[in-house]
Amino acid sequence: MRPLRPALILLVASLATACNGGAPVTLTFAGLVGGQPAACGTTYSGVGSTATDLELEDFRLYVHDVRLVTESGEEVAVTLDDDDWQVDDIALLDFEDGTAGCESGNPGTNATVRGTVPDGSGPFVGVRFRLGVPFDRNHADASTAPAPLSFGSMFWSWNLGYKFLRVDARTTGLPEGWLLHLGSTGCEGDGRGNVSGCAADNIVDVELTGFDPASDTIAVDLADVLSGADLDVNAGGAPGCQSGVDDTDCGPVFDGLGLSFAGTPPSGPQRLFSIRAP
Amino acid sequence: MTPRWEYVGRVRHATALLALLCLAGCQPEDGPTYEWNLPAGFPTPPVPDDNPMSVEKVELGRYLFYDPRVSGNQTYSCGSCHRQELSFTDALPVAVGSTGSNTPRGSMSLANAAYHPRYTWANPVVSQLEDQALVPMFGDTPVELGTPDEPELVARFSSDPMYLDLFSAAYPDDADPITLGNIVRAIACFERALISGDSPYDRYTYQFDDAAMSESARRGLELFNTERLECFHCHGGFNFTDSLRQDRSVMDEVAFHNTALYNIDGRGGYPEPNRGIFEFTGDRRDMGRFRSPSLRNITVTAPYMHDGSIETLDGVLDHYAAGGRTITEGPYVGVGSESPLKNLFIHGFTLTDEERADVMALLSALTDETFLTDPRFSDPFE
Repeated sequence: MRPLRPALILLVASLATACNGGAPVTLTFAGLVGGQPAACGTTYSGVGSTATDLELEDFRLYVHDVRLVTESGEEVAVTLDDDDWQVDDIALLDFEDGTAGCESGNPGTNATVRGTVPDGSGPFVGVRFRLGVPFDRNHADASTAPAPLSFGSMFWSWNLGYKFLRVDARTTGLPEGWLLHLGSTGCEGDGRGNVSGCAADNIVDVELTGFDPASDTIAVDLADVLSGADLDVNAGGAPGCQSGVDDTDCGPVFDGLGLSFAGTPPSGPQRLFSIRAP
Repeated sequence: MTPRWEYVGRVRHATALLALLCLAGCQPEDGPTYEWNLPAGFPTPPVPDDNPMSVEKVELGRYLFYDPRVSGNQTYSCGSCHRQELSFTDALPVAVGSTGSNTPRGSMSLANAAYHPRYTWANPVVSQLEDQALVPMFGDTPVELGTPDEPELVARFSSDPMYLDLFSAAYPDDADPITLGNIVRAIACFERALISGDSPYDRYTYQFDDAAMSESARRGLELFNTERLECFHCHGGFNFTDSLRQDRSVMDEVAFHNTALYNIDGRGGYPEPNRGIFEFTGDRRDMGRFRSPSLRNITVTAPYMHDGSIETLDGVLDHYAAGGRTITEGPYVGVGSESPLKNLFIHGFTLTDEERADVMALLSALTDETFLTDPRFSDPFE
């Protein structure tokens, strides 16, 4: 009997935690271009390898599988609240407000991920999450899905699934538009939602250290991820980088995302997300 | 003040009137839940709280929709410009009102209108069918139906025993159910019931009937969903549009796009009075931005675009393949593909003859013969 007692206490404690809903945690993100707040219709200078001017017209992304990391290196999963911006532990970050050229967007914005962790599981020193939509939710019809998976403007088609990251912009060299649409490619399916798998899931693993969720912000800076990309020309494929394996504009962009492109591994981890202390 | 703004002001006035009528006429509905009988794959349409669906209101709305007594001179009904066999369009480049005036734009299909977050071609504020109905009824620039003011309108229906029964059944808790508000609400209920989801595409996609869609149409569907053609960005989802609302939406997705149909001044200009939501916002970047219509039943809704300026679907494909239309003569000369305001996805493409046939086969597969002939949606006076 005796050895069982601590386990029993733990079980009771965890049940109590579940009933209490755990400790709330909010991760705050900041959409940026070169350190400046991202805003529809704003023009940013010095972006990409040609230091072009970039006018922003959309900036949204999905994240999922959010975990906080304790000092001992243990991962604690964050259970996301279900609300207008989060469903089944998938969240949409939305840095556009539908104004001034953001014609694909909508008025709502969201810069936080809200959820709970088990009581007493902190303090935390790091955060991990994945940019994208998990495979088992990625190939349903967005036009009938619950929010925030309901946005058709964030959906390609059943075979391709969602745009994990959508950035629409106009640049000096491409006034008609430069687009970054990240998503899975090479997906095998029948165009009716039956997808067996994708050659490249293009989901980005993010791991950030030195993070205090109570005070720090997670910067999502487009200038950092696009630093090696020439945004003034469309070298091949669809305008900008739309993830296609023949879309040669994607090489330097995928490198910034820490993703392999057309068989070439990235030079390092992703550069889109970083920690900003207050 | 341009005529367009007067028109907007008039509609706002009428909207306020309707709001008052609704406040006065609202009562809890205890009747059975309306059965949508939705096609497979379709979400439930959103319904405003003050106008729940009922079989009786849909039926009353059907009579009113097809009744010329709604127009001032009693010659025109809603159905005059929205003919069922044409997916509730009228085959005209621009609609013609009951007194012979041309409206600036073509009659839009009413198929699946329940899912639209905004109504008409380019109106960022009309977000309910109840409000939209007031535009053709009471708009005077131009006159469409020229509907008389409420007392005369009510008198026309109050003298008809059939309508006394229909209104009583639709609004059983109202002592005097024949009101402008109740007329509009019933028409809106009928329009929400106009669900089109039995096309070959639907049978193939949602009912997994492989034989429903030809090989050619299936190749067309693949092409439709490529970054080469980019069709799906603006015409995606079950309703083939990027302006969508369903009961699980938390925010309307409202999209208005400039498709480079015109570039009359080298700055992306569109000819008056069809300059898109620029007419409302005055923001030059909104020049030429119109709502993406659903492509359902698109083969029967010619001519195309907001002003009916492209006669055939082949012509529409030519326009998008060129990345914008070039007009070489007449008052609207300009190279659309060079418009600085055009949507990012209008970048042009080339199609082989076979690929073009495949895309056309897909578009044909969106035609829902059941919907176009459904007796529930037909003119009860015929």
